[in-house]
Amino acid sequence: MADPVQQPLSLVLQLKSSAASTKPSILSNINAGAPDILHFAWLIALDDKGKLLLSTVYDGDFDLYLDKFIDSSHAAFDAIFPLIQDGPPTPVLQNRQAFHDFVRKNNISPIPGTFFSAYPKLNVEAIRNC
Amino acid sequence: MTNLPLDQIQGFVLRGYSHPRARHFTIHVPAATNGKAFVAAITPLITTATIWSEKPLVCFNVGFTADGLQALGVDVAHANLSTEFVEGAIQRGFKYTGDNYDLGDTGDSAPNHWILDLGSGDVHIILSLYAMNPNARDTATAAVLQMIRDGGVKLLGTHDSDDVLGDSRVHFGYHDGISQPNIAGGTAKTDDQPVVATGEFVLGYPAEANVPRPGPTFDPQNGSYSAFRVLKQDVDGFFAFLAKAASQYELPQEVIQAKFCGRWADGTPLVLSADHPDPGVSLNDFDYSEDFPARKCPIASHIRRSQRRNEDTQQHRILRRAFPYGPPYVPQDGQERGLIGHFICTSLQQQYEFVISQWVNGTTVDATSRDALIGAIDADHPPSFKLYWNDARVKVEGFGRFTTTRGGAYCYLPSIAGLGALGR
Repeated sequence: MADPVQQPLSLVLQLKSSAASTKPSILSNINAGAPDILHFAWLIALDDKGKLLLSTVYDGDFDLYLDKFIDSSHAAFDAIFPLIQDGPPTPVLQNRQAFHDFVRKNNISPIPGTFFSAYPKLNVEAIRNC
Repeated sequence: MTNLPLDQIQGFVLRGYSHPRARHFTIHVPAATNGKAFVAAITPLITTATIWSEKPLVCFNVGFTADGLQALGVDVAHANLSTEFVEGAIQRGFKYTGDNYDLGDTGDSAPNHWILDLGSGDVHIILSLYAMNPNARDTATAAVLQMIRDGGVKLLGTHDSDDVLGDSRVHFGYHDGISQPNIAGGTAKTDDQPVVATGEFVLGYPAEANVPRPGPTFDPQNGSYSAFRVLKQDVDGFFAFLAKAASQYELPQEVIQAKFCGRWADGTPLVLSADHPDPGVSLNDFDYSEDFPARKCPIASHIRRSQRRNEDTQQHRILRRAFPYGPPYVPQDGQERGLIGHFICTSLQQQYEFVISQWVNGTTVDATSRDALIGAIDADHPPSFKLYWNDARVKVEGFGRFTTTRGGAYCYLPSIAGLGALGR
């Protein structure tokens, strides 16, 4: 059976201690930049010292869409990344590859064969237009 | 009124010509001295964006592949040229075939089947001439052939294109070319659609969201990139399918044709007149905000998935400078027909490749059905095209691929100053 069109991204982030109270603004910044390819996104606090898990399910080619969002939302990323320990360098427009590398390094892939989708062929837009 | 240096920008970037007879030449440069001689000879002929006081009989424009720039002595790996341009259409066509990034140059569309030597890696220069009539095209051709001989470069092939079906029609029957981006600082007549940042089409100016798009080191401003495409259209197959589907799904053929496109054949947008063509409605003053969820115009339709209007940003617009080749359609006459020309932008990856790989063939508009008119439909990606008609939802299936790639090239379209640099 073909892979689902939806793909997971699970990113572990460590907030700098100075930024521990900014979790809500990070989430709202992420939502603002992701029209119509993001099925789900949520943040989990893994401890009380600012270690977060950002989980998303999305459609499309990851790197191509990341570059699209770097273009459209570079200001928002430049505001967030200084809050993250070992975060990617800013400005992101001049450090694109570092941003891509950061995500690859901090993404935890699911155990192979365990990502389940109840509707493997449906992307966000198709669902919204049903 | 514009501040752009019109005498530096190639004419067909800022506006489409009304010259209906095109001829495209693919040229090989055996040595840099030959290439420079040829470039120096054609540079004075290149049509710029300067407004005409009198329309010329013939316009000329020119593009270079990465191989071509290298042959002219440019160190393409270190000239600030984009990665995808330097890799080129052949390599990218072979490489990008996965479900999440499919350029569609697969099967019969793969680069090893391309014509005009476009699949060989030998194409260095694509010269395009646009003439008012066939005689002017032939006269201009004689001049081009003389310059080719004088420069000692090699002609690989030519391909004509004739915009003579009337009403800007294409072989699938649609009135085409209705919606081109309004370019900030541009000279073409604008409509009510959003203005798109100059830097999306001309290098060296800010693109959308103020993203810098610098040109290459030898031509930092006023050039552009393009995807040159030769696209064969299976016109017999298209109309045969429409007839069969009309019977199978009990829908008028014109309705299926319109739903596949997003416009009736005469150009009427479905969102403005869902039930029938209407010459009284605007051709382009619309978006999809009042057709959500998509009922009048399918989300999978060609125009909705390739230009998203309010449903996405203006980051992925493309200038389409292409028109038909082949004679007016006669069923089963064995003649090849299609579309040929340049798809112009400043980021081949975020514009041309994004539209094709993510929206047309990809999973982020309608993952259940690739674009019916131009999508890479095959056994692994069969269509399941959902449309609504008379309040009923219909799933149209069973059609194959109607558009095949016969050739492609990623081109750099230099500014006039850039051409001067290349010719020295």
